[in-house]
Amino acid sequence: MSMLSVENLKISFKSGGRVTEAVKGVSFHVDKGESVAIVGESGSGKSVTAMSLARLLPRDGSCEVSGRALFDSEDIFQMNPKELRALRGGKIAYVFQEPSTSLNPVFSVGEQIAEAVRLHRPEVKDVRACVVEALEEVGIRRAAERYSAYPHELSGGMQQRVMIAMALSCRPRLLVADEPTTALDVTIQKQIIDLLREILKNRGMSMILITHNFGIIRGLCSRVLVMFRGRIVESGPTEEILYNPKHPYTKALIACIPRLGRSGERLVSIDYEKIDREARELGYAY
Amino acid sequence: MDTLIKVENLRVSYPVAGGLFGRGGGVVNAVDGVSFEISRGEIVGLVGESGSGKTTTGRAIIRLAPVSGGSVFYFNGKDKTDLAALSKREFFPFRKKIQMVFQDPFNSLDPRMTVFKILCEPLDIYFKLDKKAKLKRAEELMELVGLEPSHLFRFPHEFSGGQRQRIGIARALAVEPEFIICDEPVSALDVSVQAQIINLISDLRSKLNLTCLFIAHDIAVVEHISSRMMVMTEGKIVESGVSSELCSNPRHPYTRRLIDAVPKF
Repeated sequence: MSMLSVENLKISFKSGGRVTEAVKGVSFHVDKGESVAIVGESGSGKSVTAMSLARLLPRDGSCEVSGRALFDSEDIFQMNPKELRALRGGKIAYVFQEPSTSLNPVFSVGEQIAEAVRLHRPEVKDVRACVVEALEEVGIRRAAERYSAYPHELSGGMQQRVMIAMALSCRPRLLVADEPTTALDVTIQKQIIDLLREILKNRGMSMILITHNFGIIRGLCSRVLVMFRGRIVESGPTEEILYNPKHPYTKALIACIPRLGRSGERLVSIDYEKIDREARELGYAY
Repeated sequence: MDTLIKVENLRVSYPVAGGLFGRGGGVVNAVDGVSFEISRGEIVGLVGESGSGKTTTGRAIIRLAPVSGGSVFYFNGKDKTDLAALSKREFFPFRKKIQMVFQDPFNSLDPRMTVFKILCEPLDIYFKLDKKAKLKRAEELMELVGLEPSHLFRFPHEFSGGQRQRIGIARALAVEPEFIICDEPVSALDVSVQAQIINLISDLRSKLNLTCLFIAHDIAVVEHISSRMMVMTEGKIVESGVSSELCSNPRHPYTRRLIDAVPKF
């Protein structure tokens, strides 16, 4: 029995009388303790898929979601507001791309984490100590002092560590990390990935990692789903997909990553027409 | 080699507020005595992490950052001019020769201007063109960077990130510069789009015989595009050399750290 099971998820947006189908029937599952990557380019529907799992999409009628998303056999799309509040942060926590815009600039980072702890874990007596511990767990040194630091006093990498600490502070069972390293330098990216790997191992938590870069998922996610134009075009174990991709889109996405030792070589850029042609020849449904 | 730019012992320092009433603070040396040369037609990479001073170095060359010491020589045949010593008025003609492409294609384009207007601004400053000639030039620029000329009258928000970066490049090329400084031109883009922009820059270099300083934090990206590269940390260049050699045989521990950080598979 999977912890999370998404069945035939469809998401469409209405604007100015036009309906855009962002996600066209996606199904996948995430087991307990498993880490799954969703890889695709901007516009592939990977982020909205992730957002829908905590019902974070606009509810003003501009966005329509259908299908089922079962978390422990309960359908997220049928939950009432009280159940949703318990779900968000408490069971599924998010880390977004841009830490500087995710954090509130007028509260200290410690206070922001404390707010989440108070809400989701009322049994905790010493909230401050709990926050300091959370900051230490993500590798922030002198955590007791950093409790009262404001977001602008921290570097981008440190801010992202704070976001991860906040997400973990309520002991969620699933972490959804949406491009957590895209705004960071490669060196800091490596640190954050190492940190995530460590935490997943220690906690036995599940993760969905959303990224456009195939390069970062190796050693971090056991399975990959490749999304292209609102559909999952290929999925399987990470190593298998990385070294033996089948779908022309997956091949192109892997080929365009800049690698060391190829000085002066021309980078491969994605030719969508060629992908369409090859995919049709290979019998992939569109 | 035909040198175009020679930077000698460049320094940029900023005062740090400290002590009572913000006085008595020290200075931070963002760029701490940097020297290098770039030849005509060459793409030279400058790599380092945030805070290493690589962006400030680029900005100091074009005088967007205050130069506190050293020289930036610009060569024209045998003549050379120290850009750092010029007055604002004297520097004006060099603004045409040196252009910049910025990191964030979302913030570096005015959202209220059409692409045509964005491209006309630099044209109006340096060339006296009538409306018809301007339109023709703007269409040429669009084609040059691989955009549809019929999209000239659209606004920036109607384009994707990669297309916006192409607009940023077209704007830089509008005044026919000799030297362009690309400051992290691909780090805000998807990997698939990164490849397109990097290929575009190297195509333009050969087509227009441009010289380019390519600043980035990803050493793999820089190795792909540059013939030589320099590695910078804490305001200093710690290693430099031919890109392929430097990446296959890094000497400085900091360079090794940058290489280690590149995902391998």
